[in-house]
Amino acid sequence: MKAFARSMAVAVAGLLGAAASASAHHAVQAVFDVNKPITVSGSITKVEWINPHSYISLDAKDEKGTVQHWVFELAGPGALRQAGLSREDRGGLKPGDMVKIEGIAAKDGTTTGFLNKLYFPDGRVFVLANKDPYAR
Amino acid sequence: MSLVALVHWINETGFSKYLRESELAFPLTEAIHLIGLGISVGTIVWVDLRLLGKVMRDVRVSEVVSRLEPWAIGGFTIMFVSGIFLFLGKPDNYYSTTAFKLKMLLLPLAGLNVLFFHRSLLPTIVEWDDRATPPWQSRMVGAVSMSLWVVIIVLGRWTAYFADPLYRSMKLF
Repeated sequence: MKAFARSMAVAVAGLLGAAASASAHHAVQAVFDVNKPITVSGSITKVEWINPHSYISLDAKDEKGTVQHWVFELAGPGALRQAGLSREDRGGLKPGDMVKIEGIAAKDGTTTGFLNKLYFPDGRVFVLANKDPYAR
Repeated sequence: MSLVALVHWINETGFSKYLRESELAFPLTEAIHLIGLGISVGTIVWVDLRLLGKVMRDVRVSEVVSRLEPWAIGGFTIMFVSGIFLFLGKPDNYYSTTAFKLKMLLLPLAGLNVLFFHRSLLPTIVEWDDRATPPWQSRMVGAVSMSLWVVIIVLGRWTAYFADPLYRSMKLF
């Protein structure tokens, strides 16, 4: 058993080393700051319904009028449909749509975030998460 | 065509897009992968423990191997095929992670370990079949197998967790 325990210890140590050298973690709270709410308005450039998390890219103008490219992470395909959203081929979200997004900003300061609420100019609102993405 | 170019080409096919965007196919493939994992590693671990002399010490090693190995192979086949489909769904995403590359390096090692057991140790099994604690070479095969599977499973999970959301750190080309 000693030899086995030793080999396991070596394996675990190797893994921890690999973990330290890897870059980003997928847990929402590890990448995004729940205390940093943001609101971004702009024109959708790309919609990706991907498992287990989807993405919406959009071009938004900042206060100075400069166009900035944003990418928001949001719930997976099944959860998006449950929230009432549909895909482009069913007349849903598509590039060119003007939207307002409320979410939380990424910790690293890039123009990325996690989407909580999606507003359309015609008044429709889709709530995909609360301020704390894990709170239901 | 380089490997990354091939991976990216797969990523852009309609089938790959269908898998990663599906509501059912992708989660079901994940479930099948886990069922295969349960059947294969769930039986492999008992062979490994017998080789280490920790369980079923009064049962001949050859009997433990011959009874459990078909399940290990069957489970592995389910796991392997479903694993290929998981990769086909998100090749760029997975290939961008260190965890996935490490996992792909370790899987063949687990295969070589089994091959070594069959080619070099099983032919002499009549000499140690009844022994509660098999010779050190066999114990080593058991320890290596268990260690590799623990690491491979963790790396499999980490592939998903280190795949960068928002693609910020993806360095494909």
